[in-house]
Amino acid sequence: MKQRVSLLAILALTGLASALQAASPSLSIVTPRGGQRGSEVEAVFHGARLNEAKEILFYDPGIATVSLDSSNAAQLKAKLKIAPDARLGSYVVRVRTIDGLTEARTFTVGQYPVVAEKEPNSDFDAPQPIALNSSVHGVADNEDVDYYRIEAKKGQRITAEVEAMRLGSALVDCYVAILDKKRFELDARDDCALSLQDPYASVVAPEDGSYVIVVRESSYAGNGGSRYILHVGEAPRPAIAYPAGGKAGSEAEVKFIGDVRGDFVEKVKLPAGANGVHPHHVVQDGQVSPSPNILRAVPFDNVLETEPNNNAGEATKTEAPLPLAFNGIVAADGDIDFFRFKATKGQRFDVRCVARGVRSPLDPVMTLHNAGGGQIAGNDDSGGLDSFISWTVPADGEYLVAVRDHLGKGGPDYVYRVEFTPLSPGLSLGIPEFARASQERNSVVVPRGNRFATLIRVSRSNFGGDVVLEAPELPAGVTMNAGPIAGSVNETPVVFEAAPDATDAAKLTPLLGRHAENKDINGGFRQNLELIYGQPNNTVYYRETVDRMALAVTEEAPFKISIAEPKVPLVQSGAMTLKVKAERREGFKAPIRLRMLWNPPGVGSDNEVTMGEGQTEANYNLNANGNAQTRVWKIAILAFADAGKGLVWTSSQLMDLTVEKPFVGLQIPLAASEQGKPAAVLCKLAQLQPFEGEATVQLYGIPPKVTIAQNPLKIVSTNSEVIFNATVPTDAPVGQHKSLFCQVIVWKNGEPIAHNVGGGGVFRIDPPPPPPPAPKVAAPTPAPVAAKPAVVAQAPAPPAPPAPPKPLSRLEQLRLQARQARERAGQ
Amino acid sequence: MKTNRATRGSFRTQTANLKQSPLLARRQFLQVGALTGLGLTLGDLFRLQSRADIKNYESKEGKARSVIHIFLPGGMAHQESFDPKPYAPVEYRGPLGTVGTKLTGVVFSEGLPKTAQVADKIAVCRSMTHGEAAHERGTHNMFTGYRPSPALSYPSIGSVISHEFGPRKNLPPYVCVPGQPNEFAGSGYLSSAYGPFSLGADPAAGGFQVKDLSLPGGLTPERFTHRKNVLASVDAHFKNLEKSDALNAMDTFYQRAYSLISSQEAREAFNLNAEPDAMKNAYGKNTAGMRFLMARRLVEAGVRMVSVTYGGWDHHDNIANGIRGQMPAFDQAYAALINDLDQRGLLDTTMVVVSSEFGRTPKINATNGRDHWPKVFSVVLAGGGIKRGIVHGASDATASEPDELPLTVEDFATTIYHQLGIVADKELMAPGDRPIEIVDGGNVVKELLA
Repeated sequence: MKQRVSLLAILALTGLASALQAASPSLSIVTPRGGQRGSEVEAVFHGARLNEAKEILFYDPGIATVSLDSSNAAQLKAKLKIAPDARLGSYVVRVRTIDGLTEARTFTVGQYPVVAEKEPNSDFDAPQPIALNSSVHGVADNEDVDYYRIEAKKGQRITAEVEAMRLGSALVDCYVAILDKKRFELDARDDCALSLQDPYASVVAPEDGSYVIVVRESSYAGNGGSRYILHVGEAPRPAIAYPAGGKAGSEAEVKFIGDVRGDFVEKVKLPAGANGVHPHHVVQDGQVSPSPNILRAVPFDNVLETEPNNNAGEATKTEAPLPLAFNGIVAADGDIDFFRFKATKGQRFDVRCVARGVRSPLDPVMTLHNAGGGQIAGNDDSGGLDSFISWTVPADGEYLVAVRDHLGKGGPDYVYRVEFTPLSPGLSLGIPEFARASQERNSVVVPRGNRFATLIRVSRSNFGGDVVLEAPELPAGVTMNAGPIAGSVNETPVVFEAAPDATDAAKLTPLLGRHAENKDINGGFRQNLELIYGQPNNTVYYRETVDRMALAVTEEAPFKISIAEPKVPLVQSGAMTLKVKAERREGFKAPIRLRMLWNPPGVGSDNEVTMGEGQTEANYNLNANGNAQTRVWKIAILAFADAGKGLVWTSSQLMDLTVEKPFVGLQIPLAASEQGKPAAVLCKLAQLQPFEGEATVQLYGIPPKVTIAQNPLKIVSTNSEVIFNATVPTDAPVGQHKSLFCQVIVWKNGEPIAHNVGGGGVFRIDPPPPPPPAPKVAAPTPAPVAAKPAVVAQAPAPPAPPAPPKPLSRLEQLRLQARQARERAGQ
Repeated sequence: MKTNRATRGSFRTQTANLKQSPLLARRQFLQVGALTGLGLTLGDLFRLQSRADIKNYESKEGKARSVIHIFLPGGMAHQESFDPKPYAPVEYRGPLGTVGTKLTGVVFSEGLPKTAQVADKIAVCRSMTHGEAAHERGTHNMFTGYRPSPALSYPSIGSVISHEFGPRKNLPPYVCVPGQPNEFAGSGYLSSAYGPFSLGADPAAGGFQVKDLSLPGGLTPERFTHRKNVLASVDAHFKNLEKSDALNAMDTFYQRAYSLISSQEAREAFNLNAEPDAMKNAYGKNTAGMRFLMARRLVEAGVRMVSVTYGGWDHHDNIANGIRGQMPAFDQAYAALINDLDQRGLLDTTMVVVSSEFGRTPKINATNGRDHWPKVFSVVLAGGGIKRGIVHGASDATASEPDELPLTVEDFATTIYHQLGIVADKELMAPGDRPIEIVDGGNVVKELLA
């Protein structure tokens, strides 16, 4: 009991922490976790700041909101009406309030009437009686075992299926068993290929009487949040379908394998135009399986195996041309299936063996062979546990594909498909994860009369180049501002703006991307909503995928920011300071935090800058490295602040940032001096682009105690070097000081262009040499005078002083010393 | 015993082996046979030879008579502590500023103003480097001087000190404040008897009392002695039945615990209440302050090595907040510790080591933090014969790689051992009669030594 309390406390604390950090409002869970289709459910949406809820937003049709009671900020009460023909399974939902959208959570629709678990039911001799064909909502608490009793007639099918992980609210690994009244297990399961961590058990009642169904956490390690729904009924529960798919638009004859009553065949209509997974609930005697089996609908035909096909000679042969899907079952331990087909030189295919992908227990190993049986390619796990080969047909002729289990296992349900899909361009868009294991900012919430920015990430397959974005169904008054996603990157900032008169509304809106030149290459939005994380390293155990972006217009924000657009480029190896201005609503004083949404390649920036309490301006620093890509990029800065109801996020306008080649290059040769002697730091300039007027060169990283009288110096576009005259006191630290660099500021359009150049310059300070053993013989030869005009520290004032001797580079000094030594030796 | 072993070896098997070996001539075979006749198996012979070859050096107390090891778990960012890069581009530089130190031209991160004022008493090593970017592996490196091995569990520096020198003034030689920070701070392949003594409670907590140090309430010394005698008779019985290192180690622990409980002087070492309030305020009445003060009391009383853990420095997210939250207490306590030791004349005989398992990435990441970076980071040594007021080694302009005088884990450990008077090349006997060097192939870093 003690442990349970502490676990609950931890859950409560973590829930609270995320609620405080997240944008307001927040949704943690919906209870009850589901309802029966055709019924009305009094649901409670638990979270924070839900008291101004306006709308419940389901991604799929079938559930309507009858009424909303938002008097309690932490518990939004809603009456939901589930349509009689609503799809079975999980529905993704968000809540819109006056000032935002919550995270996405789920609600599950089932076919049976719902009953609640009633503790105590933890004793086999005193189980909770329930009717056959009902769904129990229970909790597998710590060391808790839940017993349910049903009555069944001989020959009646009893299927008990648990949804726990699939509820998407907590990591709950359940175990289920059907026991007879003498407590013998008739069927029991923990994990299975079909429903992963969620188990099912199914039996045909051997006699009239009562049966007990057991549900518990598999290691008795549940807690108060370990919710499950147990569906108990007469439903069929096949383990897998064979063939596990077919041609889209066709009616496939599918055998369902593994039901306790025996295998059966059903004709399944595969949706036209589909390309991918097609979940299918089987129906037998009017009874629907509680969860679907997985089929695939693809644009090409099936080939079914004919046993024996255990070697190249006996391979199942087809004359039909690729693309095809080869279907088979690795039916016994050690079984291997071969298919023979024809292919044409140069054809390119993604060859995918789908087994786990259709929830088969098979862990496939796939090999490709030439006509003689020699292996030409093979793969075990490139598609998760499934196999994948990207294959270019080397020559016209016959080839073989073979499939076996990784551990040589096999069984009647070891179904697989090998799909030869022709290579074609693929494109999908999404919003990247902004915070680890969190849904932070995975929707677009735009305050009226303000802006919000998000990043759109494109995943391209089999093509390259710029991608253009379109949002065709934005709510009235909302506009999207987005540049193309450059071919060299996969993300771009996108700014949404709501007009001051836009109405508060939410919409699940499609977002389209297409190749900038080829309209045929296009794709839509796809968002993975990761709902359950576990060990190790935040592994995702359960996710939902949606195909539209959630967007809401909310009430005004108390601040709006904008960037003063610079009139100059950011140069490679350069820096820039952006001025960010804020308009604050009267009385709104809270600090506003600014965060660059995205930096172009090679550009770095402050990660976050805070505009202090009451302030309306802040500087945001950017810099570019020497290899930053030159191009006009789009950038935007996010601004967020606590407006008393959680964080409010807005953004700047979408701004052009031009990255260009630098105007000036600079190199600092080794500068060396003795303590107590003056030193000259020579900087060699490379004029890369002409500039008008004067630029300044400032030397940084000067060794401690060393001083330079005139710093910065001025240069013009024709100067080839500058010299800084330094004073090195006798107590300046001896050694190599490697921190020298220069900042060159070139002016254009009245704005500075900063270059940080000459990095890695070294200033060496030596101790004075010991007194020479012999008197000096020769005065040093005067150093050669600089050929080109050099800018020096002395101000050019008439009458002109004699030109100072040119400072020597370290190499020149050494040469000079050597020459002097030679001369001395010669004398 | 010897005879038993000799008869246990099967002569036939050995012959077979020898026949297969092309290296053994017939003459040698005869010699081996002769040895067998004398009652020595081949194994015994090799074992004896290896014992004869084992590298042995006598450990004599060196300049450093004690060590205070301050471990900052999680991987403290070198950029936000001892090696800031104010001239680096903003994404490398990070969000914090710098503070000038007592050393000309040397700056620390802004969170270390008080430490900056003792910079003339410490040696900052900015070129520490190793290759282990996982917490447990980096920690292993820094506590043992070895890369982790699946084959052997190495002893921590504290346990080696304990093994080499044993207790002083009835006090445990190796104490962890507040507790053993990780599995690598233990005795490794050495007997558990050389493991650390843990306070088991935080000195900063109200009503702090070292666990197991006082008699339970209501227990008189007479009753305690009676219990001890009963235990001794039970132990003697078990010893006749079982031979195990754990039993012997437990016995050693009891003996040491008895001596601790019975020695008023030893118990007083753990009594933080004996410190004047002014001293507590100087260190800071918080976790760092009280732990560091406890460490000073312990070394003053005679403990050879105190390993203190403070904070959590794994700042993947929002490093500025993380540093601002924890650094001030460290800064105050560390500076107070150095000054306090110096004023008591203890700094010359007490080495204070500040380390972490690794540094953090040169660039600020997407969540305003820095990730793991073992390629270069900073450790700080002070006292016990270490030069005062130096910066040893350097990282490059973006704190990404060592630029000068890279300091390896082996050299780091060897230098600490050297100052303590332990030759790190010495071999200790690991299970399976395997002699293992205390540190494999390290050099004493002369530049660090006064």
